[in-house]
Amino acid sequence: MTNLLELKMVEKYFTKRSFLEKTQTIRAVDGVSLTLHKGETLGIVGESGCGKSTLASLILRLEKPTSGQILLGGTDIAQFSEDQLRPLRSRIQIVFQDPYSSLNPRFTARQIVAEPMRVIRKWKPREIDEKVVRLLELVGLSKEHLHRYPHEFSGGQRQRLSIARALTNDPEILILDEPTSALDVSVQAQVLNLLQQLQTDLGLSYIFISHNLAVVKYVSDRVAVMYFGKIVELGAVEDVMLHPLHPYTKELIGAVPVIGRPLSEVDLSYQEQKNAAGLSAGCLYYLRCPLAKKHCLEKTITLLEYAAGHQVACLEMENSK
Amino acid sequence: MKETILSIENLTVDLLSGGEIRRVLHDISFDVFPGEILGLVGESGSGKSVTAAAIMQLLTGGNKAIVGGKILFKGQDLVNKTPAQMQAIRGKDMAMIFQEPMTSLNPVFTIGTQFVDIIRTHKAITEKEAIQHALNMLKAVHIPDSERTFQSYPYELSGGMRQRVMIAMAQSCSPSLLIADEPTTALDVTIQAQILRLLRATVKNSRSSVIFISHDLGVISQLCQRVAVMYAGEIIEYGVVETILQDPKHPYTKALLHSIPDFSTKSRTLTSIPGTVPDVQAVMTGCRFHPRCAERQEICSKQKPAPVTLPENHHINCWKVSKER
Repeated sequence: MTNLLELKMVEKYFTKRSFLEKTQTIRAVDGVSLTLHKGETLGIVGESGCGKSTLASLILRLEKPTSGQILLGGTDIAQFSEDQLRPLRSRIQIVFQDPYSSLNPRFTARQIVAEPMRVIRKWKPREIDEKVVRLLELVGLSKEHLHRYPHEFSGGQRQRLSIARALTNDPEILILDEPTSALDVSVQAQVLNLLQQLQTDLGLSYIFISHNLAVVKYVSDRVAVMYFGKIVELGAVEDVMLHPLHPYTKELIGAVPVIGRPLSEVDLSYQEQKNAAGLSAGCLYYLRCPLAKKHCLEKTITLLEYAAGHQVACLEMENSK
Repeated sequence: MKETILSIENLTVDLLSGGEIRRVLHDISFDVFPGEILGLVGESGSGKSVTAAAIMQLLTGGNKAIVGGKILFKGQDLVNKTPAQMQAIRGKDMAMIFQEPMTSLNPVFTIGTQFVDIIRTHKAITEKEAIQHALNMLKAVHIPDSERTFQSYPYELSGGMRQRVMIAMAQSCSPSLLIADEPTTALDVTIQAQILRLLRATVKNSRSSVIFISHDLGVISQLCQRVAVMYAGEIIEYGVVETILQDPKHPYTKALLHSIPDFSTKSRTLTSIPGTVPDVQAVMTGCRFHPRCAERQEICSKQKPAPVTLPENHHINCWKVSKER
């Protein structure tokens, strides 16, 4: 397997300036390194605010990383200018969460799918027309839908349209940012199956971002778990989901409502995503971690390989090794 | 027969949409018993929220929208209540928690102001007593710093915290019925698990009943004792949670369960239900699920299935099941 995309210590900091308060630095993505192989699906999970979507905009280079390398087929695009990026843009495409706000309501289906081809000016008008029909058929829509507007489609059909649009310029990588979160469960299955079919047929590589662990488990080959901008666990889907090592991954998995599994009886007090970074160096999960010990805050914790291809950032694991 | 808190009998609701009157609920019946959590599950457009609004008498068009049936709350039919009578019941005897707590809290008043307002509307007590009561309620939902939360504005709280405040407010007049409409859909799984545990503990302590509306069968299975599965404005299967989720009889319930990625197995196949949920407005003869049903027969498109009752009060609306018996 070749590395299609490789991220090396990618960081994105935002600074929040306000009139009276001190300037704050928010580490949205904090030293993320990962690789995407050809033809695989890499799932990225985490709670809201963990930096999943910022990571997506960095890979798409909609945002410029503060530091680090983004290697697309071996070329570092992290600091590329807009002009340098343009010819590369069609290689990575995105499907957004909300099919209601990500499609132009005043464009017909034909215009929506043809727009990316018009932008790169590589195609003749007749080729565009043929390709639009072919793409619509590929995603399970048909010729009759060409002249309809987004409001005439159901949520699932809109998401199919978004996928067709993302596929117009033959991308290698699709970033799927919560592509089924806005859909009904019966329709979600249709879209997930379509995505798997397209992956097999077109040899696409996916980065699948979601907070729904069951969906990620279903579609992914490998999974990265993010907490406060950092990857805390990374590995093959079976390893991470069935034998999680990081206490945060265990907490996430324990919270997934599974039919027939009783609701766990732990404490009722309020706990939310907390960042221990303000306290000192060390583990960001410290404040929530059931295994937290004093030394967790004393040294920087890095992602270490625990078993073949299974990486964890936790001192407990490091010590037990 | 056990005494019910709420009995819905053959409820039918018409709503005005796009200048036309549409039937959005078709002949719905179910009971809620004291101390139980009843789940209402279904996809968008199945009529879950309309059912909730009908019980609370919050439908646009008031009780004129209810064209048939009864809503018996502690023996009294709510359909015949005047708006003023309903005002006294809502918030006191029955309360509701919505999906998005940010839109159901007033952004320009502090939590405390809104809280005291609710309590004093329904209880003849002094401001000081109301504040004390509110603080106790916030402590009861395990909010760590209840005094500070009391003085906060909604935007200063996180989603999970706001939902806790909503539960505290809903419980403040110890209602006998709580309707929770997708209360955890907007939250992260870890927070969701906390809220579900809290909801279950509150119900246990106060002996109130809950109608829990959700599209997530996993959540329903963890929280509810009985469940009603809704599809396109009808209840198609209704009974004990374990029976329905482990041995569903209606083709829709079966298909729905097969279309959810299973967390505990390694399987990589997912069966989807062809087509989409019909529009509320769609006029249809026969069973409302028949165009998408894998087990449909000729009769399904012609005639409405008669309800069948299996042991343990397991109700199903399906021709196939009624023929097999």
